[in-house]
Amino acid sequence: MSEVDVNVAVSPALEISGLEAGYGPTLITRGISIVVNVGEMVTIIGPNGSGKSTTIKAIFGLADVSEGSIRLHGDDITGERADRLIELGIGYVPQAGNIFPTLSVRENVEMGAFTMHGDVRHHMERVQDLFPLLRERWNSKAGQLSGGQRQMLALARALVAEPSVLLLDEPTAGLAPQIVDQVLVQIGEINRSGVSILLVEQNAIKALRHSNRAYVLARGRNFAEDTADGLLKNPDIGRVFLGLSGATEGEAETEV
Amino acid sequence: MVINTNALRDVVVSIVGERGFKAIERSLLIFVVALAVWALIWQLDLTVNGLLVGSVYALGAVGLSLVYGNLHLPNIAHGDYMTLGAFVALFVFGTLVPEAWSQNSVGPFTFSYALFIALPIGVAFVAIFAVVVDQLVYRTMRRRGALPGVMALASLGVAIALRGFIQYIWGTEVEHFPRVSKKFFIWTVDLFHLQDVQVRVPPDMIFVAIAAIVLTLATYLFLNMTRWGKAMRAAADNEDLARVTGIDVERTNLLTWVIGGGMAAAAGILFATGQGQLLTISGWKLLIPLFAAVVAGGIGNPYGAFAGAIFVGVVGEVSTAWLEPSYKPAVFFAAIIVLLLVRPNGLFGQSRS
Repeated sequence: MSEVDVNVAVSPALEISGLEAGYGPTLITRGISIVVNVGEMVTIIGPNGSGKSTTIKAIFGLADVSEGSIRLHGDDITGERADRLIELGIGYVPQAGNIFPTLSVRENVEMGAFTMHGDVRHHMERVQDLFPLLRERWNSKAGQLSGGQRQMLALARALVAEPSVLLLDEPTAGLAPQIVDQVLVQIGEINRSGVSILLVEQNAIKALRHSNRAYVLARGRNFAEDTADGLLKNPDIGRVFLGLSGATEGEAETEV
Repeated sequence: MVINTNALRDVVVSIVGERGFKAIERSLLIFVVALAVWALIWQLDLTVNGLLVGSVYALGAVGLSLVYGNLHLPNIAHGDYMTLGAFVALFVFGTLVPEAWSQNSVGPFTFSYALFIALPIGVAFVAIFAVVVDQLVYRTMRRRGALPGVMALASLGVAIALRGFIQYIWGTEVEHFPRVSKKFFIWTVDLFHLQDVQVRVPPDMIFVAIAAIVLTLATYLFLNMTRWGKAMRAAADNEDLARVTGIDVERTNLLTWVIGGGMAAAAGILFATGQGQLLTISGWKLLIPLFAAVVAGGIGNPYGAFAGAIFVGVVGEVSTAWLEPSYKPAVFFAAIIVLLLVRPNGLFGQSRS
């Protein structure tokens, strides 16, 4: 059920080039380059410590960038402040702690619209339409939601500001297998509604089935880059990074 | 009711069995509640005054809890912020307010209209002071990732330095807050046709209680109804997420200090008004009941702090029916330990998951 990218216009939405980033003196990424074209869903896979999350965090200033540049629709946004990035149209869902647990569902979404000016009511309604499940729990404390519902809320919080590019850091981490599918399907739908997506995923095979293209990182560098189908069929990648035993795309759902 | 002391529970269960334990637990609870109700009714005078004393604690505790929750700083200087507010008010009484305004008391209260000038000036001064201290001391420490314990020690330093400064300016003598009249409201209550109980209440305390309720309510409305109030709660919940959501966390921190410092000043001024006098250690001495109230109410929950303060006030006052007043802290801390055994996160605390 892989998507075939025939209709994707080749115009870069997000360009990361030669990114060197890390935390304090520790360098994690050593020259990573990634392009997300308009309308694409791109997945980053790779083993732990390969720099997947750091790449995304560097965009939002959560990792220190020492070299390289990040461009959004051609404009340099390296080192911009979070509120400015959101205004420019980038949404970000961190991996852990991506909701405000003691705030209500409604207030969580309101916080997503914090940088927006004027009346945000119709933005809030749009998000409720997108996530009917959240509408039901609208006034509940976010901390009372289930794992899957929390991820939905985290997506809703990022989407309310109407981003053109969405950065997702392991949105399925810690979820039960059938919930993983639900969340990925929802992300696929968000992508089809016109939001370009850059996704970091541990559930690599499942994520690839929803993606147009993917990058494989290793030791802070680009290791491979191909269409999602191409990577799934590549025997070397399959064996080393996807946990597939043979050359064919098996049913193994092993995490990398 | 869930008792969280598992070891104790296991021992009791092994003797009387699961059902026996439940029965003991329930009868203990009923006994404690009945005892409390009996004490509250027969010591009506102390109960009422405990409510009023609790409301003074509440004024201080709400601000303390807000700072604790939002900045993860148990601000030991909070009591001295209260003292500072009261001394600024004293300065205003002595210099800025025309003599004629200080002649007549407001209604049945002991203070004159001068208080309504001194109060906002004191509040504004301490709010600004709290922000300045934050910028000079705590912000630098936050940026370097100081642990809460280290921040608490820094606030102890601020407390001692500030008290020294106040003593340097105003001296260590007892200062008297201007007092125009001194009356009591006295009601006689017929308890079940068995006994007449006299309830004596200083009018000022009623004013303080109403002020405490109004200020707590205002804080509640600000935190829950306004954009920046919600942003403050969001930053308290998850600072990193607040930052990547585009919330200016430095500004929510400043707002926390403005409200926390302002509430401290209001508490200090109203407490001194109720007492009629002021010492440079007045606020410092209030710190123990304030922290007790914050813990009883659930750390970081300002409305819980209000309830915790009432709890501490009532338990402390009612205990004086049988015990020396100097045992008050011991009594309410014992009560809080029992409370925390039953509700480990305080009256209104919630575990953050």
